[in-house]
Amino acid sequence: MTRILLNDEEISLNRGGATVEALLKQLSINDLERIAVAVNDNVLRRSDWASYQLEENDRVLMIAPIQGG
Amino acid sequence: MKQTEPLRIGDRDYRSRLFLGTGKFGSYPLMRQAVEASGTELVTVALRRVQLHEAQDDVIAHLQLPGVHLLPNTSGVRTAKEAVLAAQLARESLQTNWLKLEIHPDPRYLLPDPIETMLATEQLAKEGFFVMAYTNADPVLCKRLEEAGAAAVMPLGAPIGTNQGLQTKAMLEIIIEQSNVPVVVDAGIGAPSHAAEAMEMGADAVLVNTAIAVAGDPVAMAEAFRLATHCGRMAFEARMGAVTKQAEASSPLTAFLSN
Repeated sequence: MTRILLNDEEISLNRGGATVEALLKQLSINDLERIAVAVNDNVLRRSDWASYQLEENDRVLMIAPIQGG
Repeated sequence: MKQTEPLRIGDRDYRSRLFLGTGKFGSYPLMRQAVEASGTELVTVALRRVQLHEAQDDVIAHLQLPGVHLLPNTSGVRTAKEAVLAAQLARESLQTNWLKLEIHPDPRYLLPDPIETMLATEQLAKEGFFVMAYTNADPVLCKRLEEAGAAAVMPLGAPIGTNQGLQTKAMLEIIIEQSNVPVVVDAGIGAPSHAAEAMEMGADAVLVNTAIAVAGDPVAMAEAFRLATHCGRMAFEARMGAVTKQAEASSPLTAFLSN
């Protein structure tokens, strides 16, 4: 089972798949429109979420906009 | 009301010279109403790690107003390297290459780190970002940021959120005199009169957040800032009279009661 770090939290990926898209689905993260994802400090294009395969110990950063000055 | 000259930054013209931060508002509807009342065309947003165990709420949906553009900031980063990653994430998230670059590692005064800001500006300008660089009111640094490719410099009037006004006025005057890119006075502006003062001095725009968001009536305060910013700019374009030490009579001094 593939384990990754998502926003510094350890996550074990389901057998359903190790793509970024599968990860988002596994976590039931909806409202995806504004989310951006980087893996090991490389920003992924949204169009690559479905194909990008996560590997053991990958560091995934997932951000979204909030209020701020 | 008389139109003032539009402000060109990067690839866009702004009619409003008041930019707004969206932090600290008590609710999204209040934020939205204040943005509308301010007449602004550019509002900042921050980025945060997605909270995995909380419902996501979409601030952007509340900021989608005609003529209002988004300016993501890099608040929370401590180094140029982190800022570059944050900028790339912001671009992917919001589909914009506009960026408010802010690198302030010290939480007490939130003062910008000049060296990291410089390094990040160089890198991000090369990557095609319109970098609006939050910076100390340091005239030499502002010139260096301009040379590094900043689309605008954003010197502070006082530390973020302090409402102290233009504590750095003398330095801001030099920055405005020397700059070949727009100067946006950011941080510390606590009252409409501070915004007017910055605009009268020739600042190209002001960025206001706390003073509006924490006011008793943020919507009315947003309108007050709209008027003050416009008023200050009109005065600048109308060219103010010189300051002198000795009195200059406004009435004829020819004596008429006696010779």
